[in-house]
Amino acid sequence: MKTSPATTSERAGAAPGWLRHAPWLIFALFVGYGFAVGGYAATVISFALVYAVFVTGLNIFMGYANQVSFGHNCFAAVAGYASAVLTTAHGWGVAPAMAAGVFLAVAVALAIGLPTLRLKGHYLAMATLACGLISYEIAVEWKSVTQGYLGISGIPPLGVAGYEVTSDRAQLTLLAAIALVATLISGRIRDSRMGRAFLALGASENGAMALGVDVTRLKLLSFVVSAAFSGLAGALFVHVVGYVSPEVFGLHMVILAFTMLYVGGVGSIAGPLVGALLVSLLPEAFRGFKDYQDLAYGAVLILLLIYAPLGVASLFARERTASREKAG
Amino acid sequence: MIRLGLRNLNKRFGGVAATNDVSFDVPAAGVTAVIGPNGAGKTTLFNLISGFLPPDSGEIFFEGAPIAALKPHRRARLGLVRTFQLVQLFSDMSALDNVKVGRHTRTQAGLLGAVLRSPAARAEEREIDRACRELLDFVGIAHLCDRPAKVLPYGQQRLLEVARALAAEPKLLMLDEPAAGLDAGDSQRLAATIRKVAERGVTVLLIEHDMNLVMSVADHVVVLDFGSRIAEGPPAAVRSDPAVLAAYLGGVEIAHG
Repeated sequence: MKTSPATTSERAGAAPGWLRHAPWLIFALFVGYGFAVGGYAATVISFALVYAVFVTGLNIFMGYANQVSFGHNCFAAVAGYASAVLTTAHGWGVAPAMAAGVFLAVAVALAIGLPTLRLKGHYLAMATLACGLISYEIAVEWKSVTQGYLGISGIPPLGVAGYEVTSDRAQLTLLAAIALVATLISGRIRDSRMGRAFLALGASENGAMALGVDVTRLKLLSFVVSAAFSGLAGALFVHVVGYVSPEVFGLHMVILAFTMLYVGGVGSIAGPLVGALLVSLLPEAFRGFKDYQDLAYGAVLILLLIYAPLGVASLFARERTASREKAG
Repeated sequence: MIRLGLRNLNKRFGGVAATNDVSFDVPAAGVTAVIGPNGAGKTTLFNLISGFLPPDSGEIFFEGAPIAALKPHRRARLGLVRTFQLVQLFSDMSALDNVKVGRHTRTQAGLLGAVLRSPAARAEEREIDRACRELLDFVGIAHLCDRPAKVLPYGQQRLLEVARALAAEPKLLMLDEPAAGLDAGDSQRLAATIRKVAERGVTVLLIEHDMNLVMSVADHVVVLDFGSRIAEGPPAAVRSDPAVLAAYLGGVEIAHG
């Protein structure tokens, strides 16, 4: 399941220049379509964009630093519930509640990461999976705060300082901006000193260590940063839906995020955004197949992974390597 | 001046003494080579010095300060940087980015600076870029800087690993069998690069099998056999040392296959 962290592929040399912008074109097309049609389409794409934020964060830990986590739903749950409880039971504003939620998710990530990041590969996967399951159980059992299976309803919509984002289109626009900024941040991280260190420790821990990279600390840092994205996604989710229950952040969230990450392109900058949009929209595209909808969805996923094993984003890799070689 | 001092280093694996009470000094100037037959404990010794293995007993002094308790990345920060017998390049990253990782420990920019593209972070990036291109030029592979490391021929991967290690500004550069698997031409280029590195004032400590390379680049040779230091001195003297001849020719090598 380990795929190379960087997207640098020799095939990229074949991609014509304009293709490098294809991920942004796909993004603009989907968001534009949602904006034009509104209603259900806008809602589906809004959810896809929330997932894009989640997967973009997961990609920093799994794609750049090449680690495994089945438990990032835990951080979405922490921030989502925190923001839901603070706004409904304690009268907080949406923005400060979300910020507090993300902060709490980061704190939990630090507490979980310190002991578990000593583990590698499958063991790390199991440990993080356990964290996700535990957070689910807490959401179910801590009824005085989470209301158990009943869930919390009446969560206010997104908004800042009294101004609420209520229409489908406004919400879609805001989420598109947030997903874009998340992708931009991820890209800037990747092309920086820290990002290179993440990629390096993902490729060879010994090699990185021998050059003075504090591997333990940077693994934790990549974990915490990705948890912050997960937390933001979780908080966005509860305010977009207006309701939260334990199932919202269940294991299916992890599976869906993995699908998006690998379909989009693990380790690439725009892959998570493209993957989240495609995977969210695929089932809708096959709605006409009725009973065979899931079958068609599964078949397309398999075909994608066969013909684009490095993800859809790799097909139009924005490869500096390739373009610079051509330039001179 | 002494760059590195080993005092009574011991490391056992089960019943085998991979490093047996080894003591010697590495002078700050020039190139020191550690040689010995297969299984003599050279790589174990390297792992002990660089911190990838803890010694059972003994102490390691780097510029007079004990370092045996430090983790590898802390030793690298002090200026003790190694390469690996099996190259440990970041294979999907470009050659240039590989070298840039070498600058990690000598630079500061954090995540916030990267995300905000602060003037300080950008200035540092420019400086990193300039220094790393210069180093690729120094080892003679500047034209390959945008290639992914994994597509480079083996000899150039070795040179890239040296450039990457130099980026970390080592005071002591440790090369683990740098000529392994190189043809004569590449081996000569490597030898020339090693001499150039030493002339820059960097202490070079290398493990090597290739006696031609050792004789052409080393100023000082330490010979190991069965985990123990059996001889030490200038290359010419070591070559004619009876104990060394016995270790290499006296059937030990054959017995150990």
